[in-house]
Amino acid sequence: MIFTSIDFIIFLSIVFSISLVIPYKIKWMFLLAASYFFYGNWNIDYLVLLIIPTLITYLIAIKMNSIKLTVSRKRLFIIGLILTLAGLIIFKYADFIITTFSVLMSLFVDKISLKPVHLIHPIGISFFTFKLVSYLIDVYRADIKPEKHLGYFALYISFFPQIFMGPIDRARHFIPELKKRVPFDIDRVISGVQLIAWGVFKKMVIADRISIFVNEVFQNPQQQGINLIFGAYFYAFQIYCDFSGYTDMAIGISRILGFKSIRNFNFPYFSTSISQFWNRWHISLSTWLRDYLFLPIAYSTMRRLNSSQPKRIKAEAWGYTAGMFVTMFLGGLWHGASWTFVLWGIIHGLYLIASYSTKKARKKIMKTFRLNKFSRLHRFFSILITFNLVSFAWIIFRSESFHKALIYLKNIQFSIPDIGIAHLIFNLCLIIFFVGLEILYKNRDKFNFIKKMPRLSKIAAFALFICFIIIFSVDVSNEFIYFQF
Amino acid sequence: MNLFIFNSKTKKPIPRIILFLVLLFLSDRFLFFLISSIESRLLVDHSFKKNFIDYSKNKNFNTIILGTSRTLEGIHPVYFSSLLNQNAYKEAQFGKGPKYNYLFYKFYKKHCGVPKVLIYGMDYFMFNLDSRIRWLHRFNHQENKDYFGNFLMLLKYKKNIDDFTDIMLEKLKQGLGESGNLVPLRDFVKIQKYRGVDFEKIRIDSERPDRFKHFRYHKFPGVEGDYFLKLLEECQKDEVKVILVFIPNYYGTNVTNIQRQLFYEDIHKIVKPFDNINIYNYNKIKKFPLKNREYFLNGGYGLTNSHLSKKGAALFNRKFLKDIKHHYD
Repeated sequence: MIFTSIDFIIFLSIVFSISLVIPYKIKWMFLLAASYFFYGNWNIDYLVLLIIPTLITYLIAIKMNSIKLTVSRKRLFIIGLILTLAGLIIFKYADFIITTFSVLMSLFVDKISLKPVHLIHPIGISFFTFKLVSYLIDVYRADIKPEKHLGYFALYISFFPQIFMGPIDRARHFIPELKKRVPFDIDRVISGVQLIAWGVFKKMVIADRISIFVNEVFQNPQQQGINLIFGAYFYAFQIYCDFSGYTDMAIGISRILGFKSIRNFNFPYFSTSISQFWNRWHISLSTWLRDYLFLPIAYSTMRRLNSSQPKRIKAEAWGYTAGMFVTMFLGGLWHGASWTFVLWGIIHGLYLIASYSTKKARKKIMKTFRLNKFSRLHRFFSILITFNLVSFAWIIFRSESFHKALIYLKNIQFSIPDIGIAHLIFNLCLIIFFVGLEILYKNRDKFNFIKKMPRLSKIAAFALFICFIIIFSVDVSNEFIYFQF
Repeated sequence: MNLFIFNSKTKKPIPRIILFLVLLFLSDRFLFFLISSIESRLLVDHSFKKNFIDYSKNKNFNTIILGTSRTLEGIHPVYFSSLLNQNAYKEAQFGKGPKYNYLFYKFYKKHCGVPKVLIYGMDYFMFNLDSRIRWLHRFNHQENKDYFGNFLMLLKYKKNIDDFTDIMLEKLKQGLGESGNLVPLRDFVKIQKYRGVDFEKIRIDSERPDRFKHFRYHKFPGVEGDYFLKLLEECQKDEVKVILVFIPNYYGTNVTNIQRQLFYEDIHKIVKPFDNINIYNYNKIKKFPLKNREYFLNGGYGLTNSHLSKKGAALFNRKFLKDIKHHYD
């Protein structure tokens, strides 16, 4: 059941209607049952992979909290971490580990070839595993108390709007949300429905329509000329609209049911730097990586180096570099069991390290040439450069292999392709239209005419928007891109 | 029990919801009529009738080939002339369902006479097909739309609207002086010489996934099945030999279409009262190498549609024409 299917609309209508009348005390039970039904509908066998780690993490967190002795607590924490991550490593990375190991061993030993196991990758495992891990770490650090109610904890992990593609909401925020008594509020429901409609528009009108062009260009990069440059830009918008579209739907559904979800995107392509991009793109993941990987590694490195300054570089710089490299390496790997994803992560890591190391020099140049006076121009070029850097990295992300990525890059030319540019122009107009809408939305508080619009006009505009989605949506049977993660 | 009781708070949204539904209904109808009128003014091929009559003069077609894109890619008139020395005319194309094919037959009979043989390419989903409006406009067919049967006309006719947006894109390409698709979709003259295409690389994934979507068969009469029956009745009356052919699909597609047997049985049941109909089924490995990916453009596990490639069509036409040769004796 994907969000844009009729089955899901029926399912949501039933869940919403029942949640309005069901007593508060058993509401968690109903939503938990609905969430397990939703996940089990995909594959009933894999429900076990959701329930068992949930139980393990719940029990270990409770036990950890009761232990005062640091060593025992740490030991239990490590066991919990291994057991929680085991499912993700086995089901998602087994073949990747086997084939990589096989390739490495073949350098030393002849005729060695290990067969992949071809395990089905359970949908959403990367997302709910990260929820479990963040909860375990927060309890270990004593940042939060363990949740004693198994039902609410299980619901937090399996909550159906978030289970397949996030956001990776933190326990400290979302479990209290689940416990709130929420009265019926029509404005909240309307706001949720509007957000869902916006998400559907991004996914089915923008992302799916662009994907036709992008797939063609990436599958056949020869003699595509200028299409390859736009193919990268269009893919940037495709993945953004696909993923943020899903997130909008997930947040909208949560809102309808009365729960506030974490924001996951904040107009990332308006970023003026790569670090700002990562503060705006997949926010729940980037903050997870920051809090549970980058900061611990960076501080640990800094502590170890402490007073010494290897190669006259400050410990802080070493800490940042080590933390960033490992974080982005693993961040890339999280996206998929493929070296192209790892390389994509490393590229972003290098961008961030380069940005950090040249920060002072760039500020000096700005000051020397008085470029800080031209703030708007500077902002415009910063956005342009950042977008190009991100789009280049997306080429690696999208390509099926290094070899295909190289072919793509080699074929880039400033020439009219054999197949023409009509498709390119059409998609470009679509993206410009979409960006215009995003700018309008971003600055909606500045536009008084929107606030002053009578209610009838607003309802009519929304009705027209729904019709527009129906007319221009594409059914290419595209699952959401981030489903594979 | 916390019952949902109608009070002033819960009554409040009801007028807004009703207003939204009314406005949605009105917007839907307005946009649907707008698109339909643009389509009929700008996109309809008003010259088709005259052009076709002029084209078919002195061609002595004795065979007409009807069907959808599967037939477009699968059966080629060039092989009829080279292998059987017969003149065949192919009208098959994407978006031409049973209703269109029936109307075309009536039009063809009126202006060109009764053919000797009618070949109909069968599709697993043929009774779930809507003939596209832009094709139906050729015969000034006034669609009897049920304006109050569906809440959203745009959703009901979504396939036709997709067609409309594709055509606008084609117009844009033509406006820029670019060639359209690989297959000249609306040039019925060029279609007669068409032999299919071969992609540089095989695009079919041969690996069978552990889990993939399956598709059920939509039983007769479905959406336009009545027109299929009318066509058969008309052919019986005109003493036309009808050949129903199940064109080969890639093996994975056959596995995906899990109710193929039901489909075949349904067709056999429909044609039982007729004595002028012959059925040829090439969706068997003994009859055609269904697992050879070179012979197919697309298809696979989880994909309900499959088309023959140029290479596949060459092989298929040789086998098929050998099997039906005796109908021309």
